[in-house]
Amino acid sequence: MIAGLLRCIEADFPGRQLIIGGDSSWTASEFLAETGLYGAALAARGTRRLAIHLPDSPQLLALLCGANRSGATVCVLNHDFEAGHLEGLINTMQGDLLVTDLAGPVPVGCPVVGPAELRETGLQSTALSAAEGVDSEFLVLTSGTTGQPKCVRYLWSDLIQQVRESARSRGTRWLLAYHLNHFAGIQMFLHVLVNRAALVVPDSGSVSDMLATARANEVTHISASPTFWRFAIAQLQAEEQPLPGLQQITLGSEVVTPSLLESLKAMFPRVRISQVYASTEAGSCVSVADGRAGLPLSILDYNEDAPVRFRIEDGQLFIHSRHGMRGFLGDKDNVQDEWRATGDLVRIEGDRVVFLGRQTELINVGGVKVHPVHVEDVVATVDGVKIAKAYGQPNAIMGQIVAVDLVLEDGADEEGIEERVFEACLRLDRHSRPRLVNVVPELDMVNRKLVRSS
Amino acid sequence: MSVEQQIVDILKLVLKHQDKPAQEITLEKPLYDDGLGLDSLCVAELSALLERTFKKDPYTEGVLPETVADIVAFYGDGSA
Repeated sequence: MIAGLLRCIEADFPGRQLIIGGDSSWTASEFLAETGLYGAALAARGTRRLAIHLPDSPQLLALLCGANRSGATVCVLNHDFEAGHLEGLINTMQGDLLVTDLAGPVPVGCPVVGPAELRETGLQSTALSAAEGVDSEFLVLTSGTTGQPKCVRYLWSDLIQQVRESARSRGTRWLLAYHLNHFAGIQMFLHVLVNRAALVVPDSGSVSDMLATARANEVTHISASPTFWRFAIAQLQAEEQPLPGLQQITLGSEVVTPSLLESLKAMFPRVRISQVYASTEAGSCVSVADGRAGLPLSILDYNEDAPVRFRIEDGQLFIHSRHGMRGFLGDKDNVQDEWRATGDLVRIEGDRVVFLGRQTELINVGGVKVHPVHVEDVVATVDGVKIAKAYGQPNAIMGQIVAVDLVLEDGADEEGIEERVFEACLRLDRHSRPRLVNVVPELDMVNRKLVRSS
Repeated sequence: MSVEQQIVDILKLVLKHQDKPAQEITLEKPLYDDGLGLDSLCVAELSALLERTFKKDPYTEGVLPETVADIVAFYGDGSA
């Protein structure tokens, strides 16, 4: 399956770099050979369910594709997780091999091997045979920004069918700004393959380093979360170094607010800005590039033949996707082709379906529901604020009150920031106004999204 | 700064955040209705700010102060 895609790219663009990393950069032909080594090694070991715990890298991508070529089910674990955290996840996905760069013994119930050792096995193994091209399973752990991650089952073909082919994407160069254990990271990789583009894999997870990597490798397209872009805007303003080759910005994974869109338009007046709506469970659903927050109301009119359909029930968005997940791991039933609640709260405003936030993130202030994203959007307009997180603080009188943790821009003055935030928030209704403002050195992130479980 | 002064400053802040007019805050001043006019949202903020400043607050502990003096009395001499 993946090998077939790679052979097409190899034929169409021989000699052109496909995967560009700090240590390894490969053409489609070279990448195909790497995937073959890992595939052969996995086949030789008889691996059926592979867990990968490696940093985002060309090597990880080769191993992922090698798993597909060998017919093994594969799951990428969050590389931030430490050894003690892995056992539960591997048990959840019933892994029979862990490939990790962790040094020393790893307390898991399956064999553990380093990537170099596995590759060495591939060099000594016979080439892949009949299993190649099998439509194997791909497991994705939900990001867990609001709780424990769950394991979602896909087939590689489901993921590939979600990718929209676009002539505009041919020959483009994308920055990998999502982690590969994240659904959006895998979608990014497959988008590049299906659209015959190239993928730049940064060595470092810091926004500053990623922007430098993008600049050095003449990246033309960046798809990332609003949180990433808020940091990127602050960084680019501080550095006063633009991204001259940038042609497209894609936003997804979190609510995109009007103020963020305006900031991006101001900084990148000639860059196309698109928004993707996707979820780990439903997959990639729709994208728009009209520069307005939310989705057009017409998404509610898609007919029964459409691959994805939408409806709103009690203020929540429901999705029917033909290429969504097969189900959660452990569920025998195939839930593809069923209506599913997204957990995303929406409201119709004129000709738009506007996103309000996740149902689980609502703050209940004396019975009044407050959406944290709207509070954060106002707080982010205050001079000196880099990023903010609003959340419900338990309170004896109202049940919860709105509290805000914020990170200041480098060099910004903390003096008086609390009062400036209170003043800016006077435009919000009284229940939505923050009652507590805390300046913090950083905010917790998972997959470059704000963690909202506190 | 004395406990009393800290409490007065917190009350001034709460009134300011609610766009209520500045007024003289004395110990005998009632907190609600015809006094400072604090409503439930103001009290929620007062409770949170007192807790942040003094690590405990009367409302969370089930005490309902009626006047500024009641809050000062809750903290006594040594708790701040």
